[in-house]
Amino acid sequence: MSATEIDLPIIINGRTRYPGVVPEPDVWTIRYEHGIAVRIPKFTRTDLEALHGEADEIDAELARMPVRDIITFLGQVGEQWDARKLSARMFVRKHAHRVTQFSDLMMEGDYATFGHFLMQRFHLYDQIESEFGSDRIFDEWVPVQMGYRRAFPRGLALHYLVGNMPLAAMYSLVRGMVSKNRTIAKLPSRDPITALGLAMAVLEVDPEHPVSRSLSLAYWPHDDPLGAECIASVDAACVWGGEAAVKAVKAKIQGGVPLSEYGPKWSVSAIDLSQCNAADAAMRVVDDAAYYDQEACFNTQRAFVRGDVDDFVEKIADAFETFCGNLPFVSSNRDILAHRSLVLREATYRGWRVETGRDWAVVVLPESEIGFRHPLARTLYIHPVKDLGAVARHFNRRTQTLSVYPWSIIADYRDAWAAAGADRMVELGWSRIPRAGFTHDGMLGMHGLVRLVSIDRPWTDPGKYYSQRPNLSQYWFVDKYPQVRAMMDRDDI
Amino acid sequence: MLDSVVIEDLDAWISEEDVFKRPPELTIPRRENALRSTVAQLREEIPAFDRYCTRVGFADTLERLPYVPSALFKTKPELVRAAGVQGIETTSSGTQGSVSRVYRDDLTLMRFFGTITASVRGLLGVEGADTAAYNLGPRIEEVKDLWISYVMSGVSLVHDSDFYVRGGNLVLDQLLRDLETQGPGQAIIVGPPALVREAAVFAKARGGLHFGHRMKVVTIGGWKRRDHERISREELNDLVCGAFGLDDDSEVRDAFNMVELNTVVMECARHALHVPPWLYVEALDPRSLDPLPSGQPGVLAYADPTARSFPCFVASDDFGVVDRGVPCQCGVTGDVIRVERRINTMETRGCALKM
Repeated sequence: MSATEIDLPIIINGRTRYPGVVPEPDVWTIRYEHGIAVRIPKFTRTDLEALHGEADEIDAELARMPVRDIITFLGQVGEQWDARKLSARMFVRKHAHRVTQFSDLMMEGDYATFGHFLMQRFHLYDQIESEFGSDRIFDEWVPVQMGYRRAFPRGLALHYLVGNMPLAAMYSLVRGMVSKNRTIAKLPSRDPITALGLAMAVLEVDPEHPVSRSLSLAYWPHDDPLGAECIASVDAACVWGGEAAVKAVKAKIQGGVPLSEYGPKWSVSAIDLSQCNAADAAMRVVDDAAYYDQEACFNTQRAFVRGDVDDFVEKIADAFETFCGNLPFVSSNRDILAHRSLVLREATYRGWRVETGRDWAVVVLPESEIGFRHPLARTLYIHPVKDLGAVARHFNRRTQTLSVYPWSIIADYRDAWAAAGADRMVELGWSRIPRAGFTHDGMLGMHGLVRLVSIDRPWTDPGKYYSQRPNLSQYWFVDKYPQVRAMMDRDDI
Repeated sequence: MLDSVVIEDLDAWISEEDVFKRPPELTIPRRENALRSTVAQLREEIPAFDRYCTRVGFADTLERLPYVPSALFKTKPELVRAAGVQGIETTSSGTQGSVSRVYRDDLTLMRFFGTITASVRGLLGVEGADTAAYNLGPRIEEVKDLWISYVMSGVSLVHDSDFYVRGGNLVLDQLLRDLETQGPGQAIIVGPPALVREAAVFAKARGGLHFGHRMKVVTIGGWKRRDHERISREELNDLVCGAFGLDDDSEVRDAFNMVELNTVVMECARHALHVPPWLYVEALDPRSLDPLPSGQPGVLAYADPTARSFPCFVASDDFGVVDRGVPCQCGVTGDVIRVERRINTMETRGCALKM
């Protein structure tokens, strides 16, 4: 293995296998234009058979394990991750930013969140309670009106990951673990390191733990027949990324398998400069636009702005320089750079105001040009508007986050914005930090991973709904019909 | 003001003998004059281009050429056409999702055909009225103004041509019959690579032909909707040589063009794409769009003074390399381009929809 080659393991039911122990033809090599290559053993038929062959045993162990123990175990992982004691933690620290060409500081921020999210128990308890109304839902039959409800895992959950944001990999995998599903994660070539690093950390803390043994992570190319066979065998699926990935997974999963789609989406900001400080708004909108190099669904691509846009663009330029000083745009991907350059030239030709720094750009263009193509890569489009409420007409089913400033205007427009398609509204600058209770792309993230089973109470218990008949069975099964017939016969029709 | 002397010189230049053999000390000033004159004329007739030249800092020193992104010919073709000039709207195939519309007047079209003739004579070495041309495409009138048909027709224009795509289908039986009865003169087959491959497979399956050095096969354009049939250039050359019984792969050439470019760039016998001397090609830095030194890969951009009705100063959607002053074994010394691949503007790198 050379300095530019990184060997990654495939993980099947918690067991790792590195490229060094398999013949060369059984190893995938992913080469990146920036010079790095990663090697990972191929996903084989034996692996697929093992996924299903050991399923009953692992499922049974997970079923016996209360969620509190799973969260405790994940908390141990989080503590050691946070204390930088795990070699897996240093593995992602060392390699992930080299592969993704994201700022190492930006990735470090996400990895710090991994630790906090796992070791602070309330995060997972809050999420379960937020989504199901009770944090006991996985272990107990929870009384709900005239019945009881309990969540059961689906079985083998596919996580078709995308590598634009480390946190997405963590959310997906942890939702699967805490809901007692087994995991098969399809690693993205964009970032195969992060999800593997998290799984390796889990294994490092206790390789025999049922949660560890529930984890399988592999890479296969999009058109791989065995990959397609694997996808066709899963019991639930979460797919992150672009239209092509979503369509590919949709086409392969079986009927009756719930699919949670996360992407592709676009996000916007709404800013009323007449009611706020322009420099403050600029600092916030730049963070919403530029973090993750604008590759995340919640990144602002366009800001609808009411007020003095000329002055605001100057403030945005300053804010971009500050942001890029802290978090440089390190990608050397020539497709990204060329796309941005050519789009900016097109905007220049169109006669629009274009301001650029080395790593950012602002374009001021009319609201009517909402369809003008966007290159991402820290490019902020500003649409001057007179009525922030009316921008709702541009929203659609692909609109995700709307960040708003000043926050006070939310009360004026939220109904119109939400009705038109905005899934999530947040204070400007905070789009990447979802707060407890948030909905994800208009859904609740764990619902697609569980079966919500209900048990009705017996009819001897009338609850608040019916008075007790002296002989309910005689009435319901026999006497009701002649009574209804007699009533119908009296109708004058 | 239209510099009539320079313009007349350009027309004369395109039709000269041995345009590829002239020394650079003669051709470079000639090209620079033509470029300056064309920019000046286009600035007068296209206000948006005029403003653009100012904004990108164009000066007569030609240090920064006013390359227009090719996407504009898709999104706002009305902003990249000269006002008041009569002509036709030529179009791309739209394989990439949307159609480029390029407005060409008669002079621009005539010059385009002139550039083809220059390359056919200077690089392909095919001359003479007795050459039979087999065009694996439809007649232009069948496909309205689809540009690739103009390019293919242009290559076969000076020869006795027949067209073998009829009603949307390649009529292989007729093609093979005609090739089998071809006389002792030169023949040239022109077509997109997918159809050339199809014809070669068909001919090979029927025992093949034996043209030796009497046939040239010229591919034009990409694989487009038949990309799933794509084979490497070497495989295609081998297949074609075997099927038509050619002496060697120097008889099989590729020609490069795109609807926004008014000059055809053709391969020589050594498979080098030689840039005609009136055309200037640069590889641009993807980040800054500044010109890169010879041999460095970047965004290919073309400055072509032959177009009068649109700014043929185009930053393309291709990555490639320009090698300057290459003394090619074919005998031509000049700039050579290598077209690497399309710029990927659609790749999804995350969950963000490019909106």
